[in-house]
Amino acid sequence: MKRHQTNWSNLPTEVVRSIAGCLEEYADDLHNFRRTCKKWRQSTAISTILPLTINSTPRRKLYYSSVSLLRPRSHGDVPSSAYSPWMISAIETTNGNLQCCHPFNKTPLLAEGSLCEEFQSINLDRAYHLTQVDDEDEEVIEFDKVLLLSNRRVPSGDECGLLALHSGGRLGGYLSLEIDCELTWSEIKYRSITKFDDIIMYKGMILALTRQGKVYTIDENRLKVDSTLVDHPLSQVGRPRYRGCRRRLVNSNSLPKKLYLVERVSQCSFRVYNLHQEKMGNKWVEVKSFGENVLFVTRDYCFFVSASQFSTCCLKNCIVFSNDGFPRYGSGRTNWERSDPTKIFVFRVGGHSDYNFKPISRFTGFPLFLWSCPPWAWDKGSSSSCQFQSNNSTIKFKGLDIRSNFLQTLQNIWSKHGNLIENSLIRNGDMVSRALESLAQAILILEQTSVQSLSDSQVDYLKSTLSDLQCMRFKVDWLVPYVDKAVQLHKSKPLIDSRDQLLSCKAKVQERRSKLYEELAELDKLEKELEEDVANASKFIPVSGNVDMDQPIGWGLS
Amino acid sequence: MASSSSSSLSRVVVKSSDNNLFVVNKKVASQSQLLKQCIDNMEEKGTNDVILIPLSNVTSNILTLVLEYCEKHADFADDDNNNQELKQWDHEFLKKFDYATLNSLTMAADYMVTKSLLNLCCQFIADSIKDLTVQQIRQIFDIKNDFTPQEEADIKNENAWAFR
Repeated sequence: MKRHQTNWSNLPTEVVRSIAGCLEEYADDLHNFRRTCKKWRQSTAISTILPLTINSTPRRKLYYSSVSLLRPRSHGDVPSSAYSPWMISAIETTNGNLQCCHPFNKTPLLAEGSLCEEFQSINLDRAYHLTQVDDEDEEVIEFDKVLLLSNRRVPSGDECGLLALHSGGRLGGYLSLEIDCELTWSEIKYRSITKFDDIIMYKGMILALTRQGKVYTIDENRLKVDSTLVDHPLSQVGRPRYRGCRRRLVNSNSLPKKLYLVERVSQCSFRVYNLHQEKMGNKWVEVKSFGENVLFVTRDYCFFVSASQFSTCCLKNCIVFSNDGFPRYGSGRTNWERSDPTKIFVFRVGGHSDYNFKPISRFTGFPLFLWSCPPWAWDKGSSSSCQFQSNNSTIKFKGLDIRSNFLQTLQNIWSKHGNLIENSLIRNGDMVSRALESLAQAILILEQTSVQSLSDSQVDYLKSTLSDLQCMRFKVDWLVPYVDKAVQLHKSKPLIDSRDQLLSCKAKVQERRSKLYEELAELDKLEKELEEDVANASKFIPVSGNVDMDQPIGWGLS
Repeated sequence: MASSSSSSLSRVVVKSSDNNLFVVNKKVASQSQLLKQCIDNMEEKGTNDVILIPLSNVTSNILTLVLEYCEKHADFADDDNNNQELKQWDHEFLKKFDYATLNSLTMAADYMVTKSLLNLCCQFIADSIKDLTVQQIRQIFDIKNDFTPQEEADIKNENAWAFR
């Protein structure tokens, strides 16, 4: 227990923050403090002030998400790198409530709950989300990209500013996120420029990229353009009539930090530029490679991952992207567009043309799980090498401990039939868990067992589970017809068997009869032929009538 | 009614996690917002019994220290002029403890919502971190480094402004 062992990294977040607050004026000490361990670092990060409802008209919500690459921990002889990883994003829309989503389109993957601790996870990127909510708390507008700006070392809402791209490239923000007063939004314009392609934090500067490829720095204290970082526009050569897409900025994943610009030149070609800082002025220089890395570009995220993470397939120098990662100019992307799976593509920078561009759905064995739980995650029985595949591991579902192999089933039920335990009479969480597990087991029996292989004990299980769940007032009326069907089919199994036997007898009789018919026809034909032969032979016999060959020829002469 | 019972008893009994009982003056107890809240709630109900407050998270040796602090501060509660003396006392008070005790005391101060003691602990911890290397901090506080080498390299090179 806690009182027997000292655990400084488990201090409550607020306590860690107030210790860090005491170090606010000592930059080096605070820096060291935050390097000590993850807990101390996260407690003092800007994300601790989120999610936040912004006091403005209309109401806006600010929250936080991150993308991670998960794989099982090494187990025995199987190194964790032998597994294809699973990429998911985790969004914290309400306090402490993590929702796991598809990283490209935010489709929820798990009902709720936190990531299993047994995974090895690598943090790839993070994003802040600003959404406008209506009276029903429905999100109506989502901003394109949000940066949080804090010059405080231990950030708090009061002294944290916000900068966001919205409405197809307009730039605006709040100077602070104070909770108690109504905030005013200010738009950023510079000379004739009202729209920007992308914004990013790079080496402590806030950068805004224009359509021409120029880059300006933004002063976070005034929310105004401060100075020009890149004055050379991007070359327009080879960029003819194509309407063009917004370009994306991305920081390199290794040190020293480099800034890249990614441009979708046409449907299936890209250019990548690197920022060259020179005395004569900074400029973008096209590169044919970004090293041993894979670049992921989604609507919300843009990040590099070392290609060594995907050992089963060479993704070196590839861009994995969805269409909405590069929105077209002019289409004010206000509503959330869900891209379907076929819309995620791979493009290889500087590769052979036939391999350059294809949807990931055409990759056999694409070395990354995006859409579904990888088999190593919950599927029991497929392999015994992962400890969390065992029956004993539990996972949180609706705040209840559920054996992980039942999770998928329960999620499916939930999404199809809603909350089953709303009116439940059972208060004890453990009992509800067991009841839900029984329900999931019953459903698995129904889904996986044929009438023939259904056993008496399974039928008893189905019947008793259903009636017990009904007694507990679980909402299981949808299950009744299935169980009834299973019970009745099982009951009438002997009858079905005999009916089947009778049917096969009948078939045999029919077969014999048709054979007999055939034989009969054969005999008819033979008879006919014989008759003809008789007739033919008779023609050549000089004597008419029947001839008795045994009688003397001259019978009755004398 | 609150008024009829509030004067009935001036002491409460606090029980530590290891089941030791401490008889505490109400004025001392109300240095802790947690205890104060409990007392207020009980009195509102109009109980005439002795108020017993069990603290499941605080052991008796730590509770002794918290109460020692509360007693001292209750004495000075009405008297701002003695601030300097109190500050001196505070400083000497924490200096006596090892890091394990300091940890438990901080947790207890947080749990019992004794704001001034919590602030004191945090400041003391912050002061002892000053001028230490990351390694030294981990060593003193017995903290396991849970960063991967890559993460460590990234963090080490991040600039002071890059607080994300």
